[in-house]
Amino acid sequence: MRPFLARLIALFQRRRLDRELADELATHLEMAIADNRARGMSPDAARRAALTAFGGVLQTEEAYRDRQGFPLLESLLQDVRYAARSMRHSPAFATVAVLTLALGIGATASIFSVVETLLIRPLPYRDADRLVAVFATSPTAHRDTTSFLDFSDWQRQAHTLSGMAAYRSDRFNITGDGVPEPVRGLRVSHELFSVLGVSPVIGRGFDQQEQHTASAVALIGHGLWTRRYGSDPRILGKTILVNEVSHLVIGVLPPGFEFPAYVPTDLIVPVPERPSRSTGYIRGIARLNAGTDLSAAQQELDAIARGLEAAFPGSNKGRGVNLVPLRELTSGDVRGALLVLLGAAFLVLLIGCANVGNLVLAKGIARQRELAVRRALGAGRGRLVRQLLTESVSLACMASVLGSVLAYWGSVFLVASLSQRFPLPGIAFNWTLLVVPIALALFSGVLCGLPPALMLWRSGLSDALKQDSRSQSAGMNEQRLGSLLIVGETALTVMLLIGAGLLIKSFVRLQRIDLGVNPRQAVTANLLLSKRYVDPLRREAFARQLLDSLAAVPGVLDVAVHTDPPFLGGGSRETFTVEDLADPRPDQGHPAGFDVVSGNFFSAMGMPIARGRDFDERDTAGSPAVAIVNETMARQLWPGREAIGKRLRLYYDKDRQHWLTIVGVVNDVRYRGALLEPIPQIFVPSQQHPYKSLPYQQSPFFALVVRTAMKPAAMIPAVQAAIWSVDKDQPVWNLQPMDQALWEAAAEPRIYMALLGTFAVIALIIASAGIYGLSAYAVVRRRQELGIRLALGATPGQILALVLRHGMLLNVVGAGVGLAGALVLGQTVAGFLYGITATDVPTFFGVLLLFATVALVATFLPARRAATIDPSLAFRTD
Amino acid sequence: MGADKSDVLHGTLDLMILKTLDTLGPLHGYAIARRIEQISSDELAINQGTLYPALLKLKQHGWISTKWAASSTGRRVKIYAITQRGQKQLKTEEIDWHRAAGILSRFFKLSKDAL
Repeated sequence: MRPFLARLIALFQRRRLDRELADELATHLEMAIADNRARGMSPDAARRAALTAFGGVLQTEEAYRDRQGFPLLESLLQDVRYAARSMRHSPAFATVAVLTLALGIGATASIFSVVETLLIRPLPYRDADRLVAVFATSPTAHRDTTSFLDFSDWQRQAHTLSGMAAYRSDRFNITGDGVPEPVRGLRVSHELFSVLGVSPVIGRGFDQQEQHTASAVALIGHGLWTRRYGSDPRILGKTILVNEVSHLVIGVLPPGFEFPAYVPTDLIVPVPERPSRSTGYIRGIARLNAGTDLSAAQQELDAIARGLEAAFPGSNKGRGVNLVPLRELTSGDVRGALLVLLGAAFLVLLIGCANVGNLVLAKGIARQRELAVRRALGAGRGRLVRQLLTESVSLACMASVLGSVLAYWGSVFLVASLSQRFPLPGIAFNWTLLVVPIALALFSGVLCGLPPALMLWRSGLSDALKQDSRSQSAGMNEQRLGSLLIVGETALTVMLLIGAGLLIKSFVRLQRIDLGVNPRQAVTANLLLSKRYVDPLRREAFARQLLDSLAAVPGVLDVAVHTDPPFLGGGSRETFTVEDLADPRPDQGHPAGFDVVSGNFFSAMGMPIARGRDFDERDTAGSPAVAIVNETMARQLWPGREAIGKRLRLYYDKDRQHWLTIVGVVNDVRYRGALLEPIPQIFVPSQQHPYKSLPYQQSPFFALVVRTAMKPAAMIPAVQAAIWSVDKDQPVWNLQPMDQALWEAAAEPRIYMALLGTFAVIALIIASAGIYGLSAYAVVRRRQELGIRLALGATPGQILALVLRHGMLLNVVGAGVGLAGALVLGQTVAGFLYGITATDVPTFFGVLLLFATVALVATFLPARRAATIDPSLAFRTD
Repeated sequence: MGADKSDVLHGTLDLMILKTLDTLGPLHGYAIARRIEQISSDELAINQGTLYPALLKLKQHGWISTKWAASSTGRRVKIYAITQRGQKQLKTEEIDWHRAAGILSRFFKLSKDAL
């Protein structure tokens, strides 16, 4: 420790210590001379003898200094100083290199920060990697809901699981104590808290007894607590109205509690224990026992499910259990997309590295004589390599600072764009934004510095000294390495361009899809209906009042209410028995979406009737029941025949034999998201189905569509007010312009495509700069050769062709390699493509054409300069 | 801090310097070199290339101290003196050395018959 401190102190006293040593050595020498003189030597002999005995002063000083400070650190500092000086000498090079690397580092780090948050960071539960989601399976579904009775049996019989809880995500209306607020929440079994290892910040969870008796108790989320109740701890013991039922608040959830993940949980109430095995409505969450792995637990539950199947064949036939790690459940579907993006960002970084490596190499060749001289003066080969690496790492470190800033912006953008799916508050400031750029900088710095360092290592000293600038065209090794880098860079760029091209083309196709509705000048909203409207007559009255109130708002052209909210992804489905067609399965009919619509629905939505007629005043409660189906339904059930006039009925409606006659066919509507194929859909007029006592009356939703004469966004407050003028306690969801709702439904693929497209453009810019830079440099290096050719009678055209040929040859080889790579790697993006395959020929051609153009321009500009070289000047250059 | 070179002389130079300073009192660098050479009957030649780094090392360990003073001829010279820590270190090293030398000499006396 002491010597270390002494060395540290010495670092700051270098100059004085150096002077003192010089003094001391001089004194030593003089004393030796004096002694020799005293022994009778002549002054000259005395001096010579003393110097001989003394040894080299410089070596002594060197050894002394090594002992005195930190030789390694000091030479490193020297290298850094040297690197800084050489950057100052060529600011253009330094700027290009730093920018290039910063783009790659920033892109990679920002994507990585999202990857870290969604895929790597443990979920905020105790031992989160032991948590598994428990689904039921049926012959048609892998992640189905289960009944409470099945769940209880799993829970009782499973020994590989140390705890299992049931949950059901739900939406609730909170009213009575302010503005009616729609919140998201859960109905859970009492074990949830112990399974997750989470406890309320204040208050308590509920117990088995409370769950069993369906007590009206609730835990509220931290967000709701602060937002609505001012973080008042006295909320405990008070009651709040949840769906108009008074609930006793018994606890507050910890901040950031989002279960299963990324969806704020504002409310938790006990799950109802329904006594039927055929009603699936809950999912399970369980904790694997220590020492049990997933497959053992899966086996055990398979056996339990088989037992239940044997015991209750009526309800459990074909029913199984599916265990899915919680992590997979929460991030499974974005995982692929994020990894593709991360790969693409990393490609950008690699392309940047190849580019900077090439620049450094080109500079290194110019500096070869300088390096050779340094070596001749005694610098070790290792020392010089270290110096080159220090230079490129310093460049990369500067790039990492800029890259950190870019990564921060990038992740802010990503968070904002992904917020629809994942509200990620903590993502923007995370350690990865600091650590990853530094790691990437070291990596890329070494990668960039490697080619010239390799060159230096392999070249002999005498070769380098011999090779003066006039014969530098003979530097075959360098050229080969440089060519290799260009080929690699070209290949990576072409790969990235093709990947991005495929995605962009898919996206354009996606945008061109006819959604089947007119999203302009319309506002949509969803209402989760309050309990008061369970009664069909009151519900119908509410619908009529809503329509009247909204129709009276100035600027409203058309208004309709229906029961199947668009853009929510789910939608209500029923199965139907069709006259003259067999049911697809004995226990169910043909599946189709089912939407009860008010008059004007199709005109308000902007859905044109393709054939037949719209609902009108002929369709009354007393007239024959009618229905309109969509094209998909018509095509699937009556291929090649007319659907109009055919009859169908709800599968469950066996007793009434209430047949609906199809009177019209509408175009398909893709309001479940443009990516999802339209499903068969049946619309019926509300006046004939006043939400009567059939299963479909259970739809708890009203969806509103308001066609406006003005900008829809400006109409929102008026629409909100009109709804509340009918019922001031009715919360409203997703009140927004329809085009915005559609836009958000397609947000995710759009973000991926935008990002990949951005990466591809960056890569193209970097690569074209690289191609330009290298061919420009090649021209400068070959100036004399080209000058000689010109002097010997070559025409400028021949020179142009010569330079172009060499440059383009590399690009063609690189593009070929990139093409092959794209064919292989294209499979990774295949899942994100729409309407094209991963080997889409026009895209490949388009990308190649684009790249060829850019490469040609980048090679042509320096080549043209080469052709106009003045031979007399060329000879004079050194 | 780096390991010292395994050169025997180099390894023992530290000990010789400490002992010299301990016995003869404060000295300047040249005098230390001369005294060691004299004591070794000129069988050792102390190279300044090893002497001064060795002095620096001893100082970094806090075993010797330095101060600037005027020499007998009035020249400004750096005087080295052993510290208390240095004396303690010298004692330990001396014991170690004797023990090591003892072991080694027993090995040199080793012959087949003795076994």
